[in-house]
Amino acid sequence: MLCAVVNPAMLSMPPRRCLRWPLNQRDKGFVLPVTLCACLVLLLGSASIHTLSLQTHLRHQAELRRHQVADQLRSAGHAFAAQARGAQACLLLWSSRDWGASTAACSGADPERLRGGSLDGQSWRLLSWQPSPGGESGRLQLALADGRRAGFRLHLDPDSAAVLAVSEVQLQGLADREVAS
Amino acid sequence: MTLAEVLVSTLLLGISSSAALGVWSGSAQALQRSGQQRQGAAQLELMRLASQRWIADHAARLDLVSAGPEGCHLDAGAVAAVTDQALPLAQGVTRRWFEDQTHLGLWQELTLLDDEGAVLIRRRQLFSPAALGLCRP
Repeated sequence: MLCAVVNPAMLSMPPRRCLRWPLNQRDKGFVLPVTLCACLVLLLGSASIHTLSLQTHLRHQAELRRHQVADQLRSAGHAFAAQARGAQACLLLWSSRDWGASTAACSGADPERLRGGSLDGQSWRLLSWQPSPGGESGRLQLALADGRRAGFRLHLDPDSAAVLAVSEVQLQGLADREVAS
Repeated sequence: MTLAEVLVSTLLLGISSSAALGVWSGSAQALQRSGQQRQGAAQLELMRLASQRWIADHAARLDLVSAGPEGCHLDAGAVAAVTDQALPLAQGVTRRWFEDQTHLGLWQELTLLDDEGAVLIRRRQLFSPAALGLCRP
């Protein structure tokens, strides 16, 4: 543009060597593509970092949710143990499949108290209870109303069938919506 | 290269740099917050485990279990007092013990608060004395 207003003859120089900018014709228009590439790199880089940040946040939220579900299932396990006292303790010697038939052997026991309940606004239900042959422990499976289920091992006093300890919860994903047998 | 080209390029570069810096700054803050929350969540999990083991090991010896409407039960006030002494909380973490409405046990509620007192994470679990072997006949 500047060459358009300056006469090269007045400067006694060839037109290509005067105030022309850039010096080489082939360099004309290189700035805009380079700038666009730089902009693209900047925006793609920031998009990547934003995605990484979002993924980290979502992973953290999922981990927190898993902890809270585990809390609910642990609480359900403790509620089961709390209900399995007194007359109901006798039922722990039997598989939950046999509770209907074993009610006569456990006088006064109410199996329904062990089949489910409600805690903190969240209901839980028994999926299965299976005592070990020696009666020292048993395998408990529970599910929440939303289908999430977990397993526990309960350690028992073989003499009184009282619960001695409940193992750490083992999350097992989603249960089917069938009613516990 | 023309002046218009230079001006347009400068404008584009300025806008994209500004946008990128904004996104990077926001992402860095979000990552920092997420890291702090992850640390806080780990503290809450540690505290939950510590409380469970401490009650299982010491509740009977310290006479924290007594007869209640549904047999044996843990006294919320006594448990809160002794756990506050035995298991001090980290900064920003609060703990509350309260009775279950159906007398199945005690609820422990652990909360992680931010600098302004807003709740970041809340964990809540029932502790039944029967499940801890404290109600043996």
